[in-house]
Amino acid sequence: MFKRFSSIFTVLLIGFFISTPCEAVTPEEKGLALAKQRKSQDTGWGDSQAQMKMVLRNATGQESIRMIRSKSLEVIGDGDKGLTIFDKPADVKGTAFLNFSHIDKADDQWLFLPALKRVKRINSRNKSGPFMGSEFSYEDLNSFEVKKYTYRYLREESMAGMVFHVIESFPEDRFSGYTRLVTYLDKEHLRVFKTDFFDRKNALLKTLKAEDFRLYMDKYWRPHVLEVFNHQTKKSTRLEFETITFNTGLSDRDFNKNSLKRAR
Amino acid sequence: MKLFCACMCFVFITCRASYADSQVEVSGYIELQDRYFFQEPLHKGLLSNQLSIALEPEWQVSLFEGKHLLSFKPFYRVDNQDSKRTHGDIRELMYIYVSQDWELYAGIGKEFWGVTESTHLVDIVNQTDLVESLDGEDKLGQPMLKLSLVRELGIFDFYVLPGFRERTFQGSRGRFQYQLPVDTEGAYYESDQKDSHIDYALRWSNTFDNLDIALSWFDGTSRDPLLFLEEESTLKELTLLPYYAQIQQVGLELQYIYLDWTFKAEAISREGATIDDYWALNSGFERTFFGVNDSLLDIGWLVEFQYDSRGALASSSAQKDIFIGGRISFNDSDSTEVLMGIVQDLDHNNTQSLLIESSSRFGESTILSLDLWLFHSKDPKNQLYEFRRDSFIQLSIQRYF
Repeated sequence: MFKRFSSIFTVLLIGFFISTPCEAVTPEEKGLALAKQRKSQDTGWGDSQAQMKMVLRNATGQESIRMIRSKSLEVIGDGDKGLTIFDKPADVKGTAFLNFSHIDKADDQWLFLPALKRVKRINSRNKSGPFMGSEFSYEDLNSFEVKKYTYRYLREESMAGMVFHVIESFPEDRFSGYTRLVTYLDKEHLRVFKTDFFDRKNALLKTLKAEDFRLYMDKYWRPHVLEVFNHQTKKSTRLEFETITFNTGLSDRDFNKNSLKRAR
Repeated sequence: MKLFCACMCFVFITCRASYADSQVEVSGYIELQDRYFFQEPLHKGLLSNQLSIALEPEWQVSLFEGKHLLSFKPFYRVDNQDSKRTHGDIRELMYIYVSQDWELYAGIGKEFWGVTESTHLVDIVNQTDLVESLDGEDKLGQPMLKLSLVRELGIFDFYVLPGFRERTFQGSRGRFQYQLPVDTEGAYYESDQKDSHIDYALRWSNTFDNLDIALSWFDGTSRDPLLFLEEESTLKELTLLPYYAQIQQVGLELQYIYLDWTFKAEAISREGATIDDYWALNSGFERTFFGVNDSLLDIGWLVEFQYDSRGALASSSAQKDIFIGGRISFNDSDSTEVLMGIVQDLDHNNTQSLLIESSSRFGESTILSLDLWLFHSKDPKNQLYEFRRDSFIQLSIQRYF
């Protein structure tokens, strides 16, 4: 008699939890759910190319310019493939960088040095290193993958007439340069408008702001301006996307060591 | 004459490149370089200051959305002291046809094979432009026909190398003299076809997760000349004549990444009817510390061990040496970098060489480099003994366009 009562009770208890509405979800779960939604909204774009201008500014206001072209290929189930070609400064013209991003292991990276005609496999553990002397690190420029972080939903916040989800992310990779990130996703489209980066000592290191979002193929939002300000050094980098195109016919064969050597 | 026509055709094509969905890019640099040798030379009358200007423009044409590629890269240096160092070369004059999963290369070009830093054992396709730089990093253009296949199993490269380039050596006033001057006019070959001999090469490379591997094979004229004493030569005195033997070489390249360590190895086995068969190995590791002491500095350490089975008879000075290097990257917007390396001979305690290279960008397109090379040897049996008073400091200003 008691046994049957306890099993019914157990079934009812389980039933109660399954049918519980979303309000009882933990901040970790909510953060993860939003991250997954953010990723799934940005899936299916296939391939894209972009031309970018990167302006590095030091604490005294001096500027130096980088001109970069990039090609990206979406890989379902893994991180994206990317080929970055440097056009300016003139001494690095023709240098190219091939990156196979992975979710569960370190990225595969190769660098092509045109003067030596040498393809060099580089150790990708240095995700936190500055990309071309800028305030963007390699880690920042990699594609967003859900499994690279664990999440915690913090709050909702209103800024400049828009409502944002504020989510904390903790990088899973122990070689990451950050303890945590605080990301502001707009409620309507889950686009990243702002990210605060906290260094290994959990001090605020830099802030990334995204502007000029444009819609491509009726589905994919891309910011045309990314600006990173380093609170500790007072240096900043502004990345302007001059053109972004999709469906350019790229495939795996555009992302291998031979195409890296031919990159121009 | 043929070369002239080829260049003219090339210029013509580039002028009309506004059609056929094409792009033309011009780039390159002009360099002012000064070398100062601060020690008294071993032989009388050798220069102590060497000023030179070099120019290396490059034209790249892309036709039909990258299906056909053309490139032309000539090089010329004028040296005010060593007439042999005043020289020119077509580094590249290449046509590339890019297909689905294969590419065809025809013309003059450069191939780099290898993974190690202190020496490049496997890198055999191009001849070394030794008069340009003693480190052997500068190469002469090599005529070639190459087919490259991209497959699941890796990249397969097949080469036909018609035409041979002889190594360039310093002139009579130049430093880095051997015991006797080298008479390049008197170079001789094992093969009757001399520098018209057609050579062949193959290479397979692939990446398996954290491992990069390549196997190569070469059959033809050795790019490394053996220098033989010749009593009757075109010059009136005793000289060394370069001898180019026929060889077959098998090469292996390995690179393995483990966390923030990178392990590298290159090995070759070389044989030939008129040479002593030998094998050589260069192996080591690299580890970089990023953002040292919370700064932006990256410091990389590099240790490589070099071994040549010929021992004291090796034609290179790297018969049994250890190379320890460090690279500091400042990660600033001027890409400032300092590289230091020391090569210690393990058979001869008194033989070392030290190299310090530094470079930084000034303005938008000027690179300033300052290098220091120090040679030290007390052992007459080691090749470096000949250069023991040839240490120098080099300043170079390169303006890119």
